[in-house]
Amino acid sequence: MIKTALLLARKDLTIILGRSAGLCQALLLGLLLIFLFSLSLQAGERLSPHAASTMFWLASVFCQVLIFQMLYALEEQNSAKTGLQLLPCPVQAVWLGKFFAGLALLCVAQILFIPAVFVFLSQNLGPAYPYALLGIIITDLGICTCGSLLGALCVGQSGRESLLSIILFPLLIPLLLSAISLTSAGLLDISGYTAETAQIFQWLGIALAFDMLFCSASLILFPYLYHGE
Amino acid sequence: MDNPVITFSNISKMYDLRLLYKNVSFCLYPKQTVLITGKNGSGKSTLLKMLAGLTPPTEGTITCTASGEELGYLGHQTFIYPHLSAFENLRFWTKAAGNFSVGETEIHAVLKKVFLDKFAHDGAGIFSRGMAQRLNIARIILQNPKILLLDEPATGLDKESKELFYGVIREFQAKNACILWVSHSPAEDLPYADHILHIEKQRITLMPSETVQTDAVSENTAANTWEERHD
Repeated sequence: MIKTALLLARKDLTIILGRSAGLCQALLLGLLLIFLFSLSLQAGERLSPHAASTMFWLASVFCQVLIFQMLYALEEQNSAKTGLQLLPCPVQAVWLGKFFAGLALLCVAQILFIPAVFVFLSQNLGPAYPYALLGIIITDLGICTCGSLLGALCVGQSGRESLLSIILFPLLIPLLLSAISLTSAGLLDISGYTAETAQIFQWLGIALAFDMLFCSASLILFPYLYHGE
Repeated sequence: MDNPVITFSNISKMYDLRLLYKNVSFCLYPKQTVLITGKNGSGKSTLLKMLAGLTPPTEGTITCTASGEELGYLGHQTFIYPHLSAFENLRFWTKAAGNFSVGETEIHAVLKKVFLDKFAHDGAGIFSRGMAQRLNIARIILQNPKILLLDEPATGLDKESKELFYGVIREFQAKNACILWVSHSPAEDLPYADHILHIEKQRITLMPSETVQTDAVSENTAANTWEERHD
């Protein structure tokens, strides 16, 4: 199953990176969001780390919605989806393959968004940045798990694409709350073991719990969503 | 006699609110080539989809002795990714079907066999219907299944591509594969089949094809002719 999932992810990345138009659109949307928000700041003014972190995750989640729409739309032509359903492996391999591809593309996007947050929103790196990085990784896993599940539901007939945003955002709220807190901790001047550090561990625990919840739900629900039953 | 590779036991199937078959049972054996006939909407393609696991029967059980790797599906839909080249498409689908050891030489040889070697590295999006279907045939050659499900695969093919397709069918027959074939033109395909499975009025009749005269067969009426002669 893992081998097939990696094969699928490789195929998706070859198509999307080769075609590049779709990914550029997603990256530009995120970068534009951060840049436009920076225009609301006065010269020399610094946005609060919490607000900057919120902008980063807003850009990431918008980008993620476009990425998963793109990934699942690849199977819409020539009934390639039927071909995947016929593969001699559990259909969850498709979910895992889209998850791998989506995660890779989201990481590429965030590699661009992170410097943009520092440059446009005037942020400084704090001593707790390893926790912020860990928070970003854990949150990425969670939102890609959820995106890969719901992307299967929301591609196909016209009008269904908007479902992804409508269903995804409410589900992601707890995970995004912890992600925003963890990322902002990386922009604050926290030194030593303080109350803030204790809170960081709490948020990490919450994010991990939601990752596991989304992962279990995806493994159970994906076959039903993908077969359209 | 060989053991059956496919067994349908008391199968009933509802499609939306329409009953397609009621309580039907039959067995299929290795080396059989079965042409599935019936009127439009009688459930020919649904029968293949049930066998492929794409849709479950409403009642009854389907037993298939072949593993997933040994089951091949060739329909009029090509499964082709237009943004990948012919070579990349074949490599992906062959590996995804479980043959991770497939080599470049093997893929190029099959592309040559289906007359697409000159287009191996061209994007499949520019392929005509016939070329795309030849690529689809190449996919099934590389997969080399023991049970082959064909859903009107010759639709829209020119004479040359049809000859290629029939040649591939003969090769699979020589390898003792069991072939289930929903045909767009039964009169043309009948010489390649040894059995006919006719669907009519929610019933399925399986009969040897030699009992049907080739010249008497017109589209979707092969089994009717047989029934008339044996009544």
